[in-house]
Amino acid sequence: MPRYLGAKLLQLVLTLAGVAALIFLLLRVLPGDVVEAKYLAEGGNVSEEVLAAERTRLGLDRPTHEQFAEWMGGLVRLELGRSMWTGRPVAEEISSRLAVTMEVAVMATVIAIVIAVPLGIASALAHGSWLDQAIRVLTVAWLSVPAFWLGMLVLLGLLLVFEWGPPIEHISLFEDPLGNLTQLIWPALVVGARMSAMIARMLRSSLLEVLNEDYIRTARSKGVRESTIVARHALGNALLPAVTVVGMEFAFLLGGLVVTEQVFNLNGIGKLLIQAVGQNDFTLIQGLVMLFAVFFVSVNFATDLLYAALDPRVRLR
Amino acid sequence: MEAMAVPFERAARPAGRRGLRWLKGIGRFAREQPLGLASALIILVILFAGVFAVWVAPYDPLATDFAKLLLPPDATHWAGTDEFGRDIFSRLVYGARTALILGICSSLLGGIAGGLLGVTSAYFGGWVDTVLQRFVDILLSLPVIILALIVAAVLGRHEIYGIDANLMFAVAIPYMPKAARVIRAAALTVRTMPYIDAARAAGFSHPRIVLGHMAPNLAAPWLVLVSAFTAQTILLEAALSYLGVGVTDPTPSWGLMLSGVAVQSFSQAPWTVIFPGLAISLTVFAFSLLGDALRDTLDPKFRH
Repeated sequence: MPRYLGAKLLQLVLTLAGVAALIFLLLRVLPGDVVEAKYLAEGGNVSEEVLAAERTRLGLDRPTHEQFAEWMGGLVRLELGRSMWTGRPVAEEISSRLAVTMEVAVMATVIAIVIAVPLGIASALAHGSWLDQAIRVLTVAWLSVPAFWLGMLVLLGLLLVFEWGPPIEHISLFEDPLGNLTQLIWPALVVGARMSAMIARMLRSSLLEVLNEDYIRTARSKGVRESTIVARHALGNALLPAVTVVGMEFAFLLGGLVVTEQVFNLNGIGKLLIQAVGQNDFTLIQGLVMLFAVFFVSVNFATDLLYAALDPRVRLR
Repeated sequence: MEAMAVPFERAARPAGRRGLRWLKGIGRFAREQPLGLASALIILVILFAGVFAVWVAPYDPLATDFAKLLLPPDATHWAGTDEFGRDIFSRLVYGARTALILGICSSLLGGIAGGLLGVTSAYFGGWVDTVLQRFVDILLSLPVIILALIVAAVLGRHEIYGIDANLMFAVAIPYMPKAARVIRAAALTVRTMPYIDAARAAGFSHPRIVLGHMAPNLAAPWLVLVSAFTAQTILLEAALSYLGVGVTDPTPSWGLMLSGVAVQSFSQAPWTVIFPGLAISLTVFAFSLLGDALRDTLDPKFRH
């Protein structure tokens, strides 16, 4: 086990270093920089000297490898630098927005699990029947609907039916929990519904696979009741792949929320990223991308550990 | 050696039977997968609309008419008009062209690049495999839309015949590592087949074995993958266009038609929002179902 753990940990660090290098290089190839976006986009007459001075101040005139070394050095010390646009520390910019995104993501995941588990189980048990077919087609259809359009329809429905729209100003969870909930439940529903289709599909296929195993046949031949077989013998084993999907989806949710935050006008990290890309705010983009990557890689790592802990074949390989 | 192996290879598949086998395959697919057939027909209709948009669309998709702003759907404007008085149905028809070209090309691009990566990785194994797979890990650790968003920003625009080639790359790149993973897994099985050893023993070059012997045997999973990817690339293009980093005005694009519409204005004119979204959903749905049906037919694991 320690050997397996060490190998996985090394792989994790290497992947993150790779992401850091990739994103840094990609952004240096990008035409233009923050100085251009800030001063020239306003159409103002700014002299070359001012632009050059600004670039020197931000360190953008230094050779790429020096900038890279400095940024990587910061990463090792868990420092993300300062936003090139606002001058505030990147960590501060992100943490002020993270709460909204996390809240929606957690709510969406809960909603998704609540919808997906009964759907997935019903679909697998009724394998091949019209119910299974209907659930299958419905989940595919559900996954085909663009999240932003669904969000717009929800807003439209609320406005036309109840003549009510979610408040535009952000309401803090601690000041007004109910107000906060009425504001965030809609984006969470939109994202959660989509996620539930994904989880239901995964649960269906993993449950079907487990139900074909020999030990299930043994249980059946012993005369164990079907409901006991499913609840006691099959579900536990079938849940593991589904849990993986939940983990992965949750990690990707932070990214997937980019569009939904735009629709519902939520000031989360997705919106922050769009803004940072528009402003060529390199340090902020880098910080956000690292956050996404760290999140995803950690979830992945946790899943690997879980598998290894539960299945000795994995760690002995 | 080579002279001996070649006729052997050809003899396995008589040329005349091959076309017949394909037809039979399609016939079986239609019988066993009614949903797949229906989705293929939907795709054909959308494809037809996109290709012959000039004749299908009743109006010029770009023509503005300020006397006809935000008209509800009626007999003359089937899907109503938008805030510039442009006919929404005509824009949807031309939007099909944009969505299909970008969607299909990017999924082919991602599928081919990723497929080659995967098959190379599996064939050589060892350190080549390790290096390539770590690279794939890096790309996979970022959410699809984030990667596409940044690549789109980095590449900027480069239009060829009104289609943004760089957008195609931006949409294709996030799918490349996914294709690499799936194809690698399938290729590892093919790698152990005796005919690969035979080809090695016959002294064929690596590229010849990889492209000529391994790749054709991976066509089935690849086709399934590309079909499923097309659904997702269409969705991704729509999302990017919605966010304002995808297709730009005046090119008609379904995602762009939904972009920048405020809630207040679309409650006044819901048709401007409903139809483009339906078009995206229907197309994506058709490609996903086709992918599922293809998988059920082609993947032996799912055939019972």
